[in-house]
Amino acid sequence: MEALQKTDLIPVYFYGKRYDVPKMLTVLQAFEFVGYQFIRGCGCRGGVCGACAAVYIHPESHHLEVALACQMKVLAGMRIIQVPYFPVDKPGYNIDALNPTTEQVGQIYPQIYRCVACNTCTKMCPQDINVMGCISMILRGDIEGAAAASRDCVMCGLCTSRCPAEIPQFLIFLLARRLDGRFIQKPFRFLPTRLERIAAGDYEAELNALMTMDIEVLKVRYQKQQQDKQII
Amino acid sequence: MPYPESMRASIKKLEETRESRLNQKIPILSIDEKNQLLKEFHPDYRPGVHRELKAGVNKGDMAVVELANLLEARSTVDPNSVDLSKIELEVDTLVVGAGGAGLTAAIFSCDEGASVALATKLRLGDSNTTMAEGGINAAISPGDSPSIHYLDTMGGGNFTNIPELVRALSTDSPLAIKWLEDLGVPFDRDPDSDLPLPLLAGGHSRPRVCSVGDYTGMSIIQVLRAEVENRPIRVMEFSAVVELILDDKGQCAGAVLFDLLTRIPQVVKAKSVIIATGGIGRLHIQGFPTTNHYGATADGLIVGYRAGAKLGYLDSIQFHPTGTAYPDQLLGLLVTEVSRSRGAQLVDVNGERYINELQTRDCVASANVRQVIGRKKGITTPSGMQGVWLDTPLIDIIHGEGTVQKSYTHLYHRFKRYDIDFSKEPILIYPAQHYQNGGIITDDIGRSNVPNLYAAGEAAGGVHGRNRLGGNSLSDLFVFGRRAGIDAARRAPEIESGRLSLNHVFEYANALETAGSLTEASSPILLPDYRFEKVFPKFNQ
Repeated sequence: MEALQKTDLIPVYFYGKRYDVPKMLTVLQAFEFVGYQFIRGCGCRGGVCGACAAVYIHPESHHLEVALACQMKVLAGMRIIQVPYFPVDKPGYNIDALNPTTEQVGQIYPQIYRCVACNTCTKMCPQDINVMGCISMILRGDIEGAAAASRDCVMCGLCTSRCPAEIPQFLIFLLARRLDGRFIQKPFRFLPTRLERIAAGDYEAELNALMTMDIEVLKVRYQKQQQDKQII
Repeated sequence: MPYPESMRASIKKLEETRESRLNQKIPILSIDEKNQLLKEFHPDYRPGVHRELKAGVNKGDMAVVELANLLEARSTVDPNSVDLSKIELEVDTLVVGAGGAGLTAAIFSCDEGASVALATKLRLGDSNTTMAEGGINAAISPGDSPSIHYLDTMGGGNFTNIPELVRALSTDSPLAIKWLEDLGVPFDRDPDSDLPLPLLAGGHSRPRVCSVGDYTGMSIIQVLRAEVENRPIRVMEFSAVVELILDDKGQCAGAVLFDLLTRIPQVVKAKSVIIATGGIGRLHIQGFPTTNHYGATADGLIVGYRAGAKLGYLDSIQFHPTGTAYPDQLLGLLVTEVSRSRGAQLVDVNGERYINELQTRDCVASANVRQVIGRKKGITTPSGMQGVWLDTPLIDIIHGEGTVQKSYTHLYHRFKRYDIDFSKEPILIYPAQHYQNGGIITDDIGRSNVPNLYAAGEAAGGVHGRNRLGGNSLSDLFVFGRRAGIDAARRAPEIESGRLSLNHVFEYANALETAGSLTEASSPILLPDYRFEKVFPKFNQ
């Protein structure tokens, strides 16, 4: 990337202002190349935190497109803005007191019943989640399905930003995943037993022995343990 | 950006040797062999990468140069400009940093009855935790136990770990899993046994990694963020810690926060402060790419050190064996260790293996460096970066077609955008800075040597020794975040803060000046600078 040629530059419009940037950069890097130092609009730089969500149009299309700015390369002529925050109401809930049902989700997020099935949310998802499909699943009572199908959600909020029914889809999906994890999936089978044994002090003697063992003896024991790796 | 012709010849060799490699067994190195490999090829052992600290609690200790320069820098916000009599907020517990450790500490401190403020430089949850792919360790299978986990962890750290901390880690992590499970974190279960997936991670002698696909950290953070929002916790986003405040009794009594949006310093008075500011990857140690998030700039270590907190293991960095080396846009992207657990092999330009892939990270990373630099058997990209192959198509060959797509949805999509389908083609990798093994030294409830100052998570040091095992960092966050949060809350009623002071900042600056060691920089740097040409990645190998 050191040998940067003038011909490698393409025009892009950040918030309407034209800049010429190297075409191999991601949108996030291109903002930095022209002199931005992010406070908002940049987080993990790895496609999982949703901080850098962006909306753009491309000269060859009149459609609004979406992207995570850290994931997408710049396109010649693109007009792009970031949407690092979108206001949503966040009602509190106590997960212990919930059930994995449509009614429960509807009680916390009544907007879900207002879905007009326009599918704009799906088009707005930079993670290619079938957003409206997940909402429909929840309305049909399929919490588990919605949890699985929304697993890639980075909670950027772009779906909500254009929802005519003002549904906070990303918060609803998080609730669905939590309800699924808590009430539908089976818990780890042996975990309660292990916790009882720890509480009863069953491992104290072994741990005390390891902690006071001569370091050379400990090393031999470690080496043996590593050589006897087992899947049990 | 599919692989160019220049790299394809090597992929062909890799494909030719694949079948013969399938059942090839490479023995685990003995401790002595491993130490020899580290000495020759681990980046920690390169000359000139450390320097001695000239003032403060760790005077005389060696630290990585990039960190040492910031530890010995001026304050980013002039302490003279801070009016300590103007107190913005007063709480029992101030948690600084909102990744896994910070969120956990805030939740438990609040539930224990403390008034809590949670300050974070970026948004709630922005952290390295979010980016954790592989999972969180706990000995929760019948064939495992806390003592086996203990010994794996001690050996993984070359027996340099602080034993009391490892004991806390191995005995408390099952509790952490129970907590997260009850909060609805949708962990993967082996459908036949209802145990964690039967996979061995590097340096572990039993399967104990609890995962949520390759989105483990993100899933956990999303849940904990909602739990913080469900509580009366005062969240302060875009508020970076720039100084700790002590009182006239030498106790920690709050912090100066700096609002990055308004650029106004704010004084928060607190009975206890918990530092959970995470790692240092964005200092780009030795010029290496990093797997870390945008805010990983060591802020907590710097302000902690000025306040007199003892640091440790400052010369020890974890380089993850498998950071992405191609395409340039994904440089440093973490390729989870679980890929190797599922059978992906490390292969050089000639299609040959050279190390048992399930050894500890320091060992495997050193072997990768040896293959590229020592033995000149790396593969070079068009930009000049070198790496070795991670033969990921083996995963589908061993576990059935579709396993890659199903188990690594995050990574799969990331590479697909650049026209690389890693269920069919290998990934080019090279070690990337991943974790700071060092940090603030604490006891087994997260207390530092400064009264009422705690540290938890990556900002603390000692539990992992000089090398951390994969999956142990997430365990660390919840175990010590919880312990620190609870302890801070329980002690709050008995704590009487005295007169607030920033004298320690002036005193430390004077000591540096006397030692002739005050650097040109100011710290904490708060945000990395990638403006203009600095946006182009460097290829220091």
